[in-house]
Amino acid sequence: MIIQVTEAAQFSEKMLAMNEALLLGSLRQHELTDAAELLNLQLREEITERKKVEAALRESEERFRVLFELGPVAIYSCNASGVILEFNKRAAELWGRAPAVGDADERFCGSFKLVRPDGSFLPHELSPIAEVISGKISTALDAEVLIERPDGSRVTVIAKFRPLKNKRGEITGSINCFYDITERKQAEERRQFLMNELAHRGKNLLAVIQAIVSRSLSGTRPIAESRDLLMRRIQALARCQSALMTEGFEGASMAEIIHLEFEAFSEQVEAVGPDMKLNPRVAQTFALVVHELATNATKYGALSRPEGRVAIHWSIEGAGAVARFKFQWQERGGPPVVPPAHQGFGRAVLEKAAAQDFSAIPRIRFAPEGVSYEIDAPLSVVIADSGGGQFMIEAQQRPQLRMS
Amino acid sequence: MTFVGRRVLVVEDEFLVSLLTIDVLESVGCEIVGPASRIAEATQLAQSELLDAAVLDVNVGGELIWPVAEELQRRGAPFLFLSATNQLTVFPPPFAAVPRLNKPMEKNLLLRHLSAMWGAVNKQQHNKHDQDAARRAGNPPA
Repeated sequence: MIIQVTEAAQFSEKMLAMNEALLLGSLRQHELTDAAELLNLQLREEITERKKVEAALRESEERFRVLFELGPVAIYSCNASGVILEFNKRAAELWGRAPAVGDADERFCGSFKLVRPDGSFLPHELSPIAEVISGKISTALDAEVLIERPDGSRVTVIAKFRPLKNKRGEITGSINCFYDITERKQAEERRQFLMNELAHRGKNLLAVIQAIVSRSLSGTRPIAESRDLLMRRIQALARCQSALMTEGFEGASMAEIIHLEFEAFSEQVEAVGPDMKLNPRVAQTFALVVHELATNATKYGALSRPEGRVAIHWSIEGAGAVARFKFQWQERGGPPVVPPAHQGFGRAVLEKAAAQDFSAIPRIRFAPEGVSYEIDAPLSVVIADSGGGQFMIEAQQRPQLRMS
Repeated sequence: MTFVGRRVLVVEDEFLVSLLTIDVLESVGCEIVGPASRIAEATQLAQSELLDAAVLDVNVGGELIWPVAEELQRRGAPFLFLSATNQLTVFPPPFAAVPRLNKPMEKNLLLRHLSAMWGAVNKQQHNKHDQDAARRAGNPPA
């Protein structure tokens, strides 16, 4: 029985061991499955994560690519020897050309030529970018440089260069940005020009007033009459100033000067001519010429009687360098003209000032039937500088001014 | 110091402005040469005329006065600048010490400067003027 017992016990033991093994096996399998499932899950998560990162990276890359191409700033990159690796559209626009990427002959900058603010030529190898790449300077921020394009046009740019470095701190290339400030520069220059012009004109105007005062108050005229003359002359200058102001001090409209002078006599004065812009110096003299003619006509000539008439004609004759400006003043219907005995300020303006400032010899005639006055001057001397040629064409096409 | 009979070249592109300079100078008895309103005309006068002094505008019809000033300096004639130019105008080194008067002109200041210049002109330069006069008499300009 012992055997039996033994056998039974052994059997039971074996059973137990088998059961245990079976249980363990099942458990192990379960563990394995679980572990595999966990791994799978982690893997799936990791893949999803990586895909997300990749997508984000791609998106970011795309964003930067768009920014690179679309931004108003010119951007390009160089390798350690300054060879251009990449540049955006704006860079090519500002350079006026597209350099060959990777070309060892196109180093540091894709421009045709660089010029320093003082106007001297700046070789590419000496430009700030070359100095950044060579390590001579750490970065170049806000360097002002002029780019000359192949067509000869120039743009002023502000440039920023930053070196790229590896882990060991060696320069591996650079990222370079620049943007156009040409318009700002031009606006600054324009402002400076206007300030200078205003200061100059202001001082000159005072000098002219000085001369007018000095001349108007000399002689034997009664003081009340002198004061009246003086006031009117200064008003004529003031009218010229407003005409100049209308045109931004680049010149004054001929028609406006005449119109302002004869506002009170619109019934008796007929003025016919193309609208044109006189340069500031000539405009001032012209305003005084017209004023002295009007003063004389009001006191002694056609404008001293209601039936008197003044015909004013001006024209541009010929074209180009030989074109001439002609001005005619003709009085009719006034009292018989008596040539004046003395040479006053008015005569000085009509004869000498006009001669000098118009580069012409004016003709003044005291015919019994009416005073006449003529100027025949080179157009280039009288017309305002800006777009003179263009203005001439315009002058002939525009309707004529009539005051009657 | 007398102004009477002194010959003064006036260079000024705006006639009305020159009128005042002329009035002031004539009121003390100076003789006016010019007024010249162009650089070419002024240079010609500076070369050919007998001059005791010159009053020069700086910007003359868009051109700068320097050739005229050079000619006057070569001949030893004193001169001053009377202009409406501002600080931006760069005066060439040879004219750095030349008096600069601002427009609008101050009569007494102008006369004082002329007077000082003539006080400084020595006998030698007067002789030079005499030589110029002799040269002109024997060899009149075209």
